[in-house]
Amino acid sequence: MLDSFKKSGNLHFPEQQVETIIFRNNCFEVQTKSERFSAKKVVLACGLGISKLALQVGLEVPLRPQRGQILVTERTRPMLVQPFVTIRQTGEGSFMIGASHEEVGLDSGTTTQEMRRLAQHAVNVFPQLSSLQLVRCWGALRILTPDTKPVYAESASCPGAFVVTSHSGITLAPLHAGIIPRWIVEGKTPVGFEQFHSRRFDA
Amino acid sequence: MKEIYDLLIIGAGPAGLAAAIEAAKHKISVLVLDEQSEAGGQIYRSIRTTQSLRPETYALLGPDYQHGENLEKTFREAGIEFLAGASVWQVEPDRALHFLRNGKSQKVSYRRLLAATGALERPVAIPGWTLPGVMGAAAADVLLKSSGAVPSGKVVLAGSGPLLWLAASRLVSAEVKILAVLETTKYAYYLQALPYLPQALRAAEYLLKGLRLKRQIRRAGIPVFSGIRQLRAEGAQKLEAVHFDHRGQSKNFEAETLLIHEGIVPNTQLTRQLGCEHRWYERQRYWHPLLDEWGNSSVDGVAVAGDGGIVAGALIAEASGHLSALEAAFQLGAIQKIIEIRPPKLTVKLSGIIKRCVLFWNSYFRQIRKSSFHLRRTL
Amino acid sequence: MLKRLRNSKGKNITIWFEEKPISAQEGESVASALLCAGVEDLRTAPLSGASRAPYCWMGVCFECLLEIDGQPNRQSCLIPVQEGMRIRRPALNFGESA
Repeated sequence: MLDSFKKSGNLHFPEQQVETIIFRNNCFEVQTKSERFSAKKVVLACGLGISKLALQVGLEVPLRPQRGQILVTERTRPMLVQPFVTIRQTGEGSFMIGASHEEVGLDSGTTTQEMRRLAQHAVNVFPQLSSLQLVRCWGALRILTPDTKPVYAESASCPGAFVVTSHSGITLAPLHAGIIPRWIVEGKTPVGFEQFHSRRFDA
Repeated sequence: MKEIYDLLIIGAGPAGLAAAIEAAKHKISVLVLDEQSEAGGQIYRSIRTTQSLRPETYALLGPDYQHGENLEKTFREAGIEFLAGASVWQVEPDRALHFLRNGKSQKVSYRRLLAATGALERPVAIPGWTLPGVMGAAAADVLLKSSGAVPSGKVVLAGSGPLLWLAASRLVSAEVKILAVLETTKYAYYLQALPYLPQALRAAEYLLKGLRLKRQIRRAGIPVFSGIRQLRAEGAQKLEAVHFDHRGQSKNFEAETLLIHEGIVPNTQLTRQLGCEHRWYERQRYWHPLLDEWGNSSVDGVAVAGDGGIVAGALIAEASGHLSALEAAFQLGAIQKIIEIRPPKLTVKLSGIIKRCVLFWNSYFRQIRKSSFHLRRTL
Repeated sequence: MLKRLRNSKGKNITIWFEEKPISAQEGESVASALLCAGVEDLRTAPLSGASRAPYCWMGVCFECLLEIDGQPNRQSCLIPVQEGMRIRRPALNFGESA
């Protein structure tokens, strides 16, 4: 994905944390620690970093982190073709077990308590899994809006500034690769998209 | 086993053993865990078993290996609590450590943790590297130590670095059939290293050892191909032939064993799991945990000693283990004061070995900060 | 694939691999004993079915995994042989190991 991005002539500047965005003369000036960029349009897709930057372009997007932990087993021959919500077998043969939601701020670590719970859950559903060895476990932070639905919003006070966020970036990839870019480039809000604006959270 | 220890040492190689020996002198409770079945780490792997059951192999392995005997013996006789066959798999922020032993997971708590988990051979993923018969060169060395076994068929060695030559030398002494040594080092690198030669000459014994190893290989009539490219292993169910390009020509050797080596890198699994900060060391192309002069990591209560911090070999690992134990004893309040020595101002009276360790370690870290060629004089 | 450099001073030991007796020597690892006895592949990769044998010999590559005395996924390069040990290749049949 990154290769095709670059091959299309696009530019990627890593390690450039954005500090400020100023909307001036219908143009956005984006300032990082060492560089300044300017653009006609800006898309904020930086997950938990969105809230702070969105305020600078006239959008209020409340977000909170929620930790999920997953367990990964050793590889075994393909057995489970149908993915379940909390248990699936990958193409390489590992089972992945994930069914946890913790409010722990920005801590993306793993805990034996949750690992035990996930392992017990997996064995309750498929007792045969108890003979598989666990190889690794991961923790990561979901990006949650107050109603857990995505936010797709364009700023009214700074037209050309967009926010795109959801906690299901992989599941929603077809949408994010299809309708959303057209919305951003052409500027016409697709039918029904109003529901995803962040103003729905205003008191 | 107690519920909580003052100092928990993971790894019973030279760093862990030296740390345990020193820590035991300071009346702090110590537990050592290692996933191997006996102490020694990799450099002194199975030293006790090799010495008692395979004396001819012990003799072949030479003084560098035999140095570990004294260390292991001192450790054993100090009566320090040691759990072999223990695999650490999780460390929690509340200083609880979980390990797997004999199929059961157990938990133990600590006040200070010393990760002396060492290094591993850099995996070299050439085409065909998963074929039976393809192994690391240092791996073959470890096999000789742990089980007294050597490849039975024809062997090709490939890669770069001192361990490649050491492995070759040991296999020659063991009368293994070596067909060739394929060096991946480009000629240009020798030229690039020239500016460091004056400095390297200050630890000339390392250079001489390298030259001696190379001469031994040449004398055994083993062809050496330098600057090879496109190394690949081929075979149906196991290794059958090693292919490579040399000076624009395709060549191959039929062999049953290929030993590859491209250096040693720190094993950072534990320090990553603990959340320690790491840095990329461009010159040696590896990640390592960020440490201060006493081996403290960026996580409170967690220190690193030995090759798991920076790869510098067994003798420096011993010194760093020794220093980490002093630091642990100090942090735990068992020692009142540690006086640092900054060369060349030698001021304080410490016993001879500690003075040399600190000198060594301080100047070693100065070298790392200047990012220079890190061959140092042995103790 | 492997041979012993010299015979060890330790006891001769019999271990069992896939129900067949194998001569081993005290003080060597299970993986080494098997490879010295002519077992060329210790296991097969679960997906591709390719033969695999130890690579690192120190416990980080996990290519030496075998079932030893009923316990699955033991790193056989780390475990010394013991008289009467029963060793099997990893069970690929889900949930069928001992």
